[in-house]
Amino acid sequence: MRNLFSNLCFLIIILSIIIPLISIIFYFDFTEEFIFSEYLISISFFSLYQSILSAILTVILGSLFAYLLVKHNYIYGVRIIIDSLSIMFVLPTIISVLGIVLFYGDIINIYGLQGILIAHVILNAPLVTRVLIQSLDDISPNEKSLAKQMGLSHLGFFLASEWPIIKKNIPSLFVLVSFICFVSFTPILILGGGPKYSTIEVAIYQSVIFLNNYNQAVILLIIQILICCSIFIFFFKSFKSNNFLLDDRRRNINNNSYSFKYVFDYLLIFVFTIFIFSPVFYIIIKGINDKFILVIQSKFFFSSLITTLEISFFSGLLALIITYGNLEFVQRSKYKRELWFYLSIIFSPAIIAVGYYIFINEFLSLNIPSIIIVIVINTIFILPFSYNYLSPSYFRVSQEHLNLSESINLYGFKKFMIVDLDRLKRPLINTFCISSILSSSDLVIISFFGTNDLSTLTQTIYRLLGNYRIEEARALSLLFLTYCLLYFIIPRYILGRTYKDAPFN
Amino acid sequence: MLAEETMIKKIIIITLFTLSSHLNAKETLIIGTYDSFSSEWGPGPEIELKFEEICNCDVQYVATNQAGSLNSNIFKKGKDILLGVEVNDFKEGDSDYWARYDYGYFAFIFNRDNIENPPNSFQELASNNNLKIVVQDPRTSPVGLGLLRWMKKIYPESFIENFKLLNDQVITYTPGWSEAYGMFLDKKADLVLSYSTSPFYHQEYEGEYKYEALIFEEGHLITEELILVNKDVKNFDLAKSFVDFMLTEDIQKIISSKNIMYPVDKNAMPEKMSQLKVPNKLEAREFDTEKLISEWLKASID
Repeated sequence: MRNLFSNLCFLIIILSIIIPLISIIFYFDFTEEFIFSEYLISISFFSLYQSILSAILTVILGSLFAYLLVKHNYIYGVRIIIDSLSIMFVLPTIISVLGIVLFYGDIINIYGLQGILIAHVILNAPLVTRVLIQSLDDISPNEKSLAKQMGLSHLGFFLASEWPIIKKNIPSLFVLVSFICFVSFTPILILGGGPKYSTIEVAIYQSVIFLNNYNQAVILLIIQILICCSIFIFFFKSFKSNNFLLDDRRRNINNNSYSFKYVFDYLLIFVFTIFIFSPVFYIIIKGINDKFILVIQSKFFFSSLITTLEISFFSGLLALIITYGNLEFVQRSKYKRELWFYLSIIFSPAIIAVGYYIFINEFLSLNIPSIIIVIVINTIFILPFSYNYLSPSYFRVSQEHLNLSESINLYGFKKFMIVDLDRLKRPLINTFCISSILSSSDLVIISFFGTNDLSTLTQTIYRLLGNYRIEEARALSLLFLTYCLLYFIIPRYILGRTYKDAPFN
Repeated sequence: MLAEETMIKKIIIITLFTLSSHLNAKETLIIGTYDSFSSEWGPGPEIELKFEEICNCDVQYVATNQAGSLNSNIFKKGKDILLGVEVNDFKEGDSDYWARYDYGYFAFIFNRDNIENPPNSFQELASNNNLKIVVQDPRTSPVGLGLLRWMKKIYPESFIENFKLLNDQVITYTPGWSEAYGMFLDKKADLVLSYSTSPFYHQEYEGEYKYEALIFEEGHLITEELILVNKDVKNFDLAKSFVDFMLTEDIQKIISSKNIMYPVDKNAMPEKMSQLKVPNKLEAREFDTEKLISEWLKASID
C-alpha cells in the first residue's frame, strides 16, 4: 500500500515507452534482411561523435556561466538573465534554430560541424546553467561566512564548496545533453549543410515516416539505444561522486559587490549572454512588424493560445506528479531507475509518435479526444526534463528528512503535504513551468494527433510558414516568446509571494 | 436512495440522448490531407463549407504535416478520401476512383533585386559558383525528392557528377519546404527550391513582383496532386461526389488561388497566375526512390 503510488508512477513510465515499441514491432517483418550500409555506419559514428563533443562543450560553458552568474548575482541584470535563461531551451526548435541561422549566418559560416556545435551549445547550455544555479544557490550563508572567516580565497571557496556541487551534477547533465544532441533532428538538418552530418534520428525519421520501412526504423532504434546506454553507463560509473552538501536551503545574494577586479568576469557574462540570447533578440526585432497587430486580434491566435494553455497546463501537471512519484524510488535504487527517465529521449520521437498512432488507431480503435492523447504523449517526452529539474532539490530535502520521516511513518501524500510541499515549493513550481512550456513547443506529436480545431501556437507558426505567411509567423513567434516569459513569471508570482526572501529563481 | 435513483435516471437519459444524436447525425466524410491544405490559410475550410451546403454531410479533415506519410498504410486507415497524394507515390490499384486536381513545376525561386543575370539552364546553374542555394532534404521532404527526380531525368547517365556541381552551392538541406522558403525570404539564400507558381503568392497577396522562378531550357519536373477515394471508404458515392466537386470551376478557383498551384481546369486560372512563364514539362515516374537517395548520398558525401 505504502509504495502503491510510486509503483504506479514507475509502471506508467515503463508502459509509456513499451506500448509504442510493441505496436511498431507488430509491423516488423522478421524475414526481411537488414543491410548495414556504409552510410548507416558513418551516421552512427557521427551521432556519437557530435553528441559527445556538444555535451562536453555545453557542460563546460554552461557550468562556467552558472558559476559566474551565481558569483555576481548581486547585480540586478544578472538576476534577470538567470530568470530568462530557460527561454532558449524551451522555444520550439524551428524558431530557435531559424533564429540561430538568421543571426549567426551573417557573421560566420554556420553550416557544418561548427554550426551544429554552436546550435547545440546555445540550445542546451541554458539547461545546464539553470540546473547548476539551482544547486549552487543551496550553499548556505553560514558556509559562506565561515569561508570568509577562515580567509578562504575565491579559488579556495570554489574548490571547497562550489566545485563539489558542480561535479555532483555533471554526470546527469552530461548524459542528458549528450542524449538530446544524439537524437538531434531539426538543428542537424538545417545546420548540418548536407547528409554528411546526419544523425541516426534522421535515418529513423526517414524510414518510419517517409519510407514506411518499420524494419529499418526498429533496427536503427536499437542501435541508437545501445549507443546511448553505453554513454549512460560509462559516464555514470566514472563520475560518481559523494561530495554532497546537505544544508538549509536559503536564498542568498552574494556579498560581493561591483569591483574593478571583476572586469574579466563581467566581460565573460556579457559575451555569454550575447552568445546565447542573440537569436532571441532577433526573434523580437523581426516579430515587431506590420502584421503584429493583425495577428494579435486574429481568431487563430486566440484559439491556438487556449489550446496551448490547456495542453501545457495538464502536461506540466501530469509530468510533475509522475516525476515526483518516481523520485522516491530513484533515490533508493540510484541509477537503474534513472535510466528509464532518459529512455524517452533516446526513443526517437518519430517512433513513439507512430507507435502511439498505430496503438490508438488499430489496437484500441477508441475515439479518444485528440487533446487527451496529445497531453499524455507530451508528458512522456517531458519527463526527463522534469526529472532533471526536480531531482537535485528533492534528493537534498529528502535526505535531510529521511530518517525523521521514516521514524514517524510519514510517507506518500502526507509526507508531500507536511514536508515536501513547503520545502520544495520553488523547485516544484519551476519544474511545472519548464515542463509546461516544453510541452507547448512540441511539433511532432501535435502533427500526428492534432486536428484543425486543435492547433497549438507552435503548430500555427509552422502552418503560417507553410502557407508563405512569414511575417505572421514571425509575429506569432514573438507572441509565443512572450507567452513563455509570462508562464515563467505568473505562477511564481502567485505561488511564490509567501516567500519573503526569495526574489527570483 | 432517492438521490441515487434520480442520478441513474439522469445517466440513462443522457446516454440515450447521446446515442440518439449519433443516430441522427449526418454522415461524416473523413478526408486525410496535409496541413497546408486544411489549415485556415489553405483552400480546405472554404471547400468544406461549400460541399457541406450541398451534401447533407459533415466534412472532416485529418491533417498531417508529414507530407510523406499521406499515402502510408497507417495514415490511410479510416479515411474516406486521401487528398494531396503526389503522383509519384501513387500506384494504379491504390484507388477505384481518383483525379488530378492541381499541378505545378519544381523550380528555383530568386529575388530579382539580388541576381542580375539569372542562369537559364541547369548547365549554367551548375557551372555557376557564387550562388547560395537552399533545398529540402530528400530524406524528409517530397520537394527535395523532386529535385533528385528532376536532375536524374535531365542527367540519366551523369547524375552524380552534375549533382556534385550543384551541391557545391547548396548551403543546406532543410527538413521541409517551410524552413527552406523562410530562410530564402530572410535573405539567407539566393535560390530556394519551390514551385514555378510561388511568385504568384507574392504578386497576388503582397503586390510584390521581385520574386521570380528560374526557367531552365532543359525543362522542369511536373508535380501533380491527386485526390483519391480510399479503399477504406464507408460511402463510395459520397466520396466520389466530393472528388467530382473538387474539379468544378468554382472549387478549382479556390484551389489555385489558395494552394498556389495550377488548376487542372484552365478556366479557373487566376489572371496573375496565367501571366507566369510556363516551363517545358518533364515527367519522371520511372525512378526508384531509395536508389535515388543512395545515389544522392554518394554525390554529397564523397
